[in-house]
Amino acid sequence: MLERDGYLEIEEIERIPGFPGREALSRKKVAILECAQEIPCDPCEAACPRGAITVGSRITNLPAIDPERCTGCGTCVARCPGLAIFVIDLTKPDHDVVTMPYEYLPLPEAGQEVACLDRRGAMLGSGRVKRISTAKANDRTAVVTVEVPKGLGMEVRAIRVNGRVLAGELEGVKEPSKEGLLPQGPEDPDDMLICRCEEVTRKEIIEAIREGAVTVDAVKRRTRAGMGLCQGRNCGKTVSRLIAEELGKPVSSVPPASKRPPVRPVKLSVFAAGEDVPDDDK
Amino acid sequence: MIDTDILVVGAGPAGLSAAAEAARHGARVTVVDENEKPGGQLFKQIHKFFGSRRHRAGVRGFDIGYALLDEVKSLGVEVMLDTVCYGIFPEGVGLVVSGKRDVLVEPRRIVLATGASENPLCFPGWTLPGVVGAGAVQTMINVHRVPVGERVLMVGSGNVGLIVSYQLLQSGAQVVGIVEALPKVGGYGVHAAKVRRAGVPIYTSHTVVSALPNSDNTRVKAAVIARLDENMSPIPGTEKELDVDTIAIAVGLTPMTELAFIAGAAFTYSGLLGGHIPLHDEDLMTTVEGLYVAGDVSGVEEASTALEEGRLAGVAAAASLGKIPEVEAEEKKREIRESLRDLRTGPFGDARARAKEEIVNEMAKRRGKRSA
Amino acid sequence: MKRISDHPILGPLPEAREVWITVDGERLQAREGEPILAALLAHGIHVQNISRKKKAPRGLFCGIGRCTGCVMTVDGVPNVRTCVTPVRDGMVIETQEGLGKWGDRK
Repeated sequence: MLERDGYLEIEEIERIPGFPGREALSRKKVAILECAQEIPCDPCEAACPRGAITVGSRITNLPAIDPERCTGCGTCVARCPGLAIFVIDLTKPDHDVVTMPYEYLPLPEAGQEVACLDRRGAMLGSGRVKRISTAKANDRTAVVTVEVPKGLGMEVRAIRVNGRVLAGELEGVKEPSKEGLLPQGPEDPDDMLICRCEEVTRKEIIEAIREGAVTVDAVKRRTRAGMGLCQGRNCGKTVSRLIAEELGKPVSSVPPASKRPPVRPVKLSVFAAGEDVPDDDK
Repeated sequence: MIDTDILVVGAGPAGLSAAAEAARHGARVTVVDENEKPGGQLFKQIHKFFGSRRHRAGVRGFDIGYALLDEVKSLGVEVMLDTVCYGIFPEGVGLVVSGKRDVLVEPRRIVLATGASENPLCFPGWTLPGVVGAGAVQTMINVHRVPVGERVLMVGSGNVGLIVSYQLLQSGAQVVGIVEALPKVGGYGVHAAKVRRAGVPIYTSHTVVSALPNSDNTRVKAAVIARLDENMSPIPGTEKELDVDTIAIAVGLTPMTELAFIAGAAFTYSGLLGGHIPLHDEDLMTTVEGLYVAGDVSGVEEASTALEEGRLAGVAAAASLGKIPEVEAEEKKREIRESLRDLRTGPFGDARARAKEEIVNEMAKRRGKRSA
Repeated sequence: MKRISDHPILGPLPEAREVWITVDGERLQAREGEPILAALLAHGIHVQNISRKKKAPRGLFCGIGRCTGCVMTVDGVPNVRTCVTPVRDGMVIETQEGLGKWGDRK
């Protein structure tokens, strides 16, 4: 499921207007627009030379594909900023063909064997690159056409070239550690720093709040959190949240830390010198 | 003394588009930025932007950055880099130029486009080298072209976490997973789908419980993650230890509002937009006459909205100086607000649209009380 | 040295004039104009300072000059934010202890 897992299931795709329909897929090469959320975006509409893609007057409308007008030319593939358009051809007897955007190195060459991945990045088998386009109009998005095993045209959405593994999940994952306890971090969460610059711990800040320092400024005066080089830019928001949690109030009720000039570290000598110092006299 | 009509603080997407819009209408505009390079965070955005094709959707962020820089240059905007704006006072705006000269400017209008800073996430081990902001990762890999680590755990599945994960893969790093405390992915599904099909697992309802150090405490050696129950507490026995040298944090942004605070602007709170935000009207003017806010400082959103808000503040500031005939200015503002409304629709935008509207309403109420 | 020498979107790493910096006594190559921290990461150096109270190693955190996690002593000046300070040929950079000390300026 897109929202939970970050990829579309076939059933989700079949419901969107960018899906050309099973009937069209069974008889022609056609584009599939895997765009399922109403985001403000419309370049695909103008990309199609035959007017087969429609977004309409509301920029957040989902793009619709007209399979009759679509010739499967693939011009739209590199124009979608979301890289969500593919052209698929399920009509060949011994293989399917998928045209997809590709923005990694190395680029594959025509004729090269590549690994085929599905929408989750799972390996499905091997395919052969039929064509690769790096036309200038594509603005550095390569468009790769791959022959994939028959029956996988609706599944294959990525390739792995020269065995380069892009993600790294496969190795290095250690599952639940001993006795189901959280592994001991390098430090107790209470000793965890909230203010990096002045090295003030969570415990010190909570104590200050409990002693009555209920604004970011008061916590700062008591603990020095926010008095360091970064002037509270890192810890201010965390301190506000801790105050809100301790008081059981919404974080919006905690006033922001007051700010004083200069808002950036400036050497005092600058002010002493004023405007008259020549540039090279440091 | 710098003589200028409009001073823009921050040379990111909002600041540069504010400057371009105001300069186009004949205002003398100076942009200051504390960094040595302009563009704010635009130059690390190497993906194609969403939005309306009328407003550069489908173009990569850094290309938008180059186009904006060309534009402000051709319009005669002065861009002062390595220039820190340290305060806004009744007598003027304080600048420190190249760490040396203290200069006071008296602009007629100010546009604050100072952006936002990343929220930290505290967990045992979070101060170890190797625990870094996602923005820092993006800057290093995309702008400076150096890897931050080889195996990365991303914390947070909003658009920043998803996009930076994808960019890590593009840079040659491995992303071992993305953890998200909520039961669903925070960012756009299309961004999630890109990293998923590359094989990156997304652990929803999970959090990072600690970063484990290497033997001499100089680097992250592993991350421990665990599943969360409905009360957002880690469930014992669900821990996983992941071998990583980097833990990237992408848990939201906070508007950088110090200058508005010092200038005396009134604030409001919106958790959705990043916290305490300067109150502003529909021209993006704060409660301080002539002080405007645009982009993330007026509520954290996307780069695309920052570009449009910048234009709006630029038009409003120039119009208030009489640089644009009133009818034309109103027409322009209406057109930009419409485009902003477009960008704030759909399941991701609706709530932001309401939050922004509440800010404008609160401002109107406050003004009503004053004039009554 | 670790550099992202080729990139699907950004292309090959552009040429840059080389400069030399000295880090804790060791001479290292860097690319002109890059921040000190980028050069250090390219050389696999991830610790920029040792915290004052807990003596804990610290390094890159925000990368845009706001958190001060990566400050070092540069040419005798302590608390220089290395993520936003460009390298210059001949720069002398030291891992900073705590808040650092003003050294002999070059």
